[in-house]
Amino acid sequence: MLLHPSIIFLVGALLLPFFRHKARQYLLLSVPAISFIVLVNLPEGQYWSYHFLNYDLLLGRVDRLSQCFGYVFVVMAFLGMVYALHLRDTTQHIATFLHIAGALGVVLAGDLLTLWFFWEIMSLSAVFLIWSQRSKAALAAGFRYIFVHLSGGACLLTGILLHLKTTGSLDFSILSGQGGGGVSSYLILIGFLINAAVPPFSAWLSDAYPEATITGSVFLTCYATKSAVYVLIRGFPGLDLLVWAGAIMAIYGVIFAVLQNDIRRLLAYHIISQVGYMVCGVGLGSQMALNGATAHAFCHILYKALLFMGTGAVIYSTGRRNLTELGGGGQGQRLSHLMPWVLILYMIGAFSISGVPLFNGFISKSITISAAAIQKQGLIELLLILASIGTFLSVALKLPYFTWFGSSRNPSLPVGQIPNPNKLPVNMLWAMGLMSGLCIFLGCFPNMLYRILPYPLKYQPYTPDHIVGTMQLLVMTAVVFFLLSGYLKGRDAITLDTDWFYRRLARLLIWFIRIPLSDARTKLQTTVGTLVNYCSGAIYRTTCSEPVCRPDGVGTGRRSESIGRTPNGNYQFAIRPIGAIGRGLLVGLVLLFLYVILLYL
Amino acid sequence: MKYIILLIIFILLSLLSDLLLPHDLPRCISGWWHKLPGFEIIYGFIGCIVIIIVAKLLARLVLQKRED
Repeated sequence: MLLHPSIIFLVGALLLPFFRHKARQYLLLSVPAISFIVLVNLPEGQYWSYHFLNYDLLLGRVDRLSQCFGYVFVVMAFLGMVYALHLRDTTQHIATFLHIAGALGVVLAGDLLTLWFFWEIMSLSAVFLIWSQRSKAALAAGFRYIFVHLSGGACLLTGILLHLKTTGSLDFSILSGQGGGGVSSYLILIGFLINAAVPPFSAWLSDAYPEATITGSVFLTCYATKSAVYVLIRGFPGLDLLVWAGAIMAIYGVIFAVLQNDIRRLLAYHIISQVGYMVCGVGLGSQMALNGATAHAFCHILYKALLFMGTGAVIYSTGRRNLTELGGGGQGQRLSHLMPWVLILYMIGAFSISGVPLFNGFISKSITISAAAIQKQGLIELLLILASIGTFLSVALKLPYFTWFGSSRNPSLPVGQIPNPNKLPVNMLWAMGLMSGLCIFLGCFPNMLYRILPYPLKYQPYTPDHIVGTMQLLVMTAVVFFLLSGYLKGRDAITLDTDWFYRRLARLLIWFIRIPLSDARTKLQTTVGTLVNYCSGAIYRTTCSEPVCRPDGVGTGRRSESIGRTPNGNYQFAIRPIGAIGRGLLVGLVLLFLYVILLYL
Repeated sequence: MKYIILLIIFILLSLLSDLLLPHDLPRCISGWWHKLPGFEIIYGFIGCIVIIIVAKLLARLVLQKRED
């Protein structure tokens, strides 16, 4: 059956308000399932080509790369829906479906205009997903998200239109070598990089993801950044800039993550780090590197969602999101006693992301690192390994230690009693369990993943050298952590990021509009007003709201008639003949002015 | 105390394995440092310390403000 998977999600979104309770839960689960079946049965090729205003649009380009991303998007949708089954909030579900539909559309798009269209659907639906949290911080974060993403979308559209003008085609293929990489390519690249959260455009990610709802964040983390990675793989493979951008991103994300207090913000900065691996792989450009980027995107979606699910469960149960408030102990119990399963499942995700053997990350991260090594980029390889160390430190050591344990070693932590945790809905545990199972499965049987990668891959991750090397790195990191754990505990502080610039700028702009410009407006208004009064002579009023307006009119020298008061208190206007001539002159002047303008336009 | 002994055993075993086990080819050609035995141990230890120091420095100098 030839159906675009996005349509299934769109139809699902439309049908959602009409289903309630149990029926809705079936709908939520069946939409991704049907979509998966459809996607698996789509043979490779190009479909759904439409002619639109002289251009050919291609809505479905199915090849190994799109299929790989499509599979993981839909699998994630299913597991995410299992996690979100208990939600009664229709807005969130609709926004989620639209977001996923947008992401699938981006992945299957064959031309730039379709790409842009689905890109914008993704951005807008994500905003509603953030706003569903309905808190003040979420509202503000959603506005900043709009600001960044619509600018990115506008940048992208400008680039696309320029590209269209210079090359005459909307075909979405490799853009980096076009016409010497003109302005259009750079604009498109910037549009992509904004969504991929490459610093300096990355502040929106760590700003918005922690403020969204518990279930919303799980979805948000997957689609926007990974579809950006997909378009980078398609459009700019081998661009040298991306190699360095990726490596720096990887370290940047990790350093910020080490400093964070809010558990989901830590993970959000972490996303930047992991996407850095992918961007670096895209930049390296060889088939192995592109395979690595794709494999890493695939695995990252799975384990990042698992991590967000775990922390979301903690937030759901305890209502607290900061490391300084978690940990328990003292009179209360430690969270490790209260929520052991969440801890175990979270740790599976944490081991996956760090690249522990037998889990997901081991088989996918190392492809990119090996590709860097093969291309003799020693420094890049070292930076990526450093980011790996930092990953283990922040996600697998710092976060779980201070969330689930932590009080006995650091008695200065506030050890307030954690109130009785809310009972976790069982579907959340199921979702986490299934996700963990998938991570372990892929870790143990890497060829299942390697088979669907776009290019043939002859890579054996389980070599003794690799396993031993990884264990050495991780063990030493753990040693340093336990020695210095006092330095790493959460602190109540705000970390500034590049969004400081546009937050300041926006505040400055608003101040400028309110005070100086508004003053100018008032002055202009009163000047014109008095001018009109002057010209019109004796039209004057005694009631006026502007403080500068004088009650007896301007342009004295003419005898003015006083205004009579009618018995019921209304004022009358008195009009004098000379005033009429004055007004006529004024109107004539205005008309002349308009005529001249129209003439010269 | 027990942990320190375990750690020392681990380090010794790793050095041994670095000398005895065959090395992956790509890693060795990307830089001279990979050929050192125990490279990963040193890099893991120092790298972690460097990350923490850099993060804390950045925090103190540039980035963090008290939450109010």
